[in-house]
Amino acid sequence: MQGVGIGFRRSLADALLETERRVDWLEIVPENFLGKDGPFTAALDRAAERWSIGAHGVSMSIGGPDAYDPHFFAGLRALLDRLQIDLYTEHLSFSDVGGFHTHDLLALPFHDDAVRHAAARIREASERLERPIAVENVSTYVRMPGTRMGEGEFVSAVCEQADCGLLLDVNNVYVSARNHGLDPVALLEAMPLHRTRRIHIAGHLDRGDVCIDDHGHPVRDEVLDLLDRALRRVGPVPVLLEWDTQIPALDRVLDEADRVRGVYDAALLEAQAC
Amino acid sequence: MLSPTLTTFFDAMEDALRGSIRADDVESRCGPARPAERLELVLDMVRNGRRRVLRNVYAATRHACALTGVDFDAQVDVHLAGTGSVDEYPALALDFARSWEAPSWVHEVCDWEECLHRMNVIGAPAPRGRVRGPVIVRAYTTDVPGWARRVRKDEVVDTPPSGAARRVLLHRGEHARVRFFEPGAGELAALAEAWGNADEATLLASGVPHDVLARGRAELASRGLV
Repeated sequence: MQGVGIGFRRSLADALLETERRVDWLEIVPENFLGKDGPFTAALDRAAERWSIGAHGVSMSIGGPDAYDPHFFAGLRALLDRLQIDLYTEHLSFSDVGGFHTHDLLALPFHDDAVRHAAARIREASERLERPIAVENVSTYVRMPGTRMGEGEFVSAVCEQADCGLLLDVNNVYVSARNHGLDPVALLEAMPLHRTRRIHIAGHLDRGDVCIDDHGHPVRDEVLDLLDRALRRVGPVPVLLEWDTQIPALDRVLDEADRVRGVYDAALLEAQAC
Repeated sequence: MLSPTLTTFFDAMEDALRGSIRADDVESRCGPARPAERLELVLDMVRNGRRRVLRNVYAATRHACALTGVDFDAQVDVHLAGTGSVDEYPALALDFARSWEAPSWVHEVCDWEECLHRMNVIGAPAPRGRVRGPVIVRAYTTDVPGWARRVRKDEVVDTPPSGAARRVLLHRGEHARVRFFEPGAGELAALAEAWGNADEATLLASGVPHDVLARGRAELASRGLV
């Protein structure tokens, strides 16, 4: 798996299966397929014949307090085995608490207790899935009560203690930096870049008072700059363009993927030349 | 085992997410958030995110609510929030609309969208007998499926569904795409036979003419149901 992929979304599936334009790989949200059937599941089977598939979960609640559901893990492992996916990615956040499903990705407080808890949960999840995990730095809007560490410091500590990979989301780095008055480049450099196994890039909504990571806009030039910088540091890891809300027609999404690929190719070419 | 600090944090966040306390109550228990006003923003984002997902599933139901003065989001908060995954709501909450006061046509629209979600995503009935794939049969007092289709296509629809009653049979066609058609007596009889609910003798005795039953069998076969 290499190059620039896009998310496999229901509204794009039919057009994607017909397109002759370049798509390097696809990423699924596995929860869209676990225990489900219907036309989208059938479309995935057809897509997997043509593209490498990556998986990016949204409901594991790695940082959360609720015990893992063994049925969820059994189904997930079977899906990953069937699609021959050897790396699982999820979010360094929590989404469930006390059985309440938020369907969101909430930041943890950045302190040693949370590091230990999240790292243990990542190790447990990796053992259950029988494959390595890379965790994503989520967008943050608030420093949760009890925070005593910087964001990059927290992500680094978790990845180190868990000995896991990083899914570096450069848009989230930018959004978090803007929301907390930080320098995006400094926040990027504070991440455990040497553990980067995959990169995500997306658009966001800039409200002025806060940036919202809504994956519903073209990628901003400042975020492409962060991608360029990250690729020069980490080398040719797969990059995924996320466009998950207000999704336009496939050709528009692929135009954006081509734009990202331009940065991808240029950064790697220059890195090789040095 | 969680540390006392994390336990306190998660307990407070659960209470806030369920709506029983506000952001400043979380801070009273756990310490300050920074910036303070953003914790309430995060809680709002969670509430709006859940509602947005359900609006997509129940797009026509929400529009039906708007036409009748029922607050859809409030009904979601009361009846669906905090229980299970949104993906499972239609399978778990078949009585969602019937839980609240609304005209019966609103209940029918909600039922239709729940059937679509079950057939498209999760909760479809298991195949039975000789019938290939899941099948759902419904009878509506007006053209509910047509009305819902126009709403979901963003057409301007400012009156309730009207027209003759419609009976629909939902099934999956090529590539598992959900299809539906209006079954006649022959198709319904053939379906009952294929499901194993009735044999030919029983159906003929009930008044279904043999040629009607034969045409019904052929229709189901042409659609790939048997």
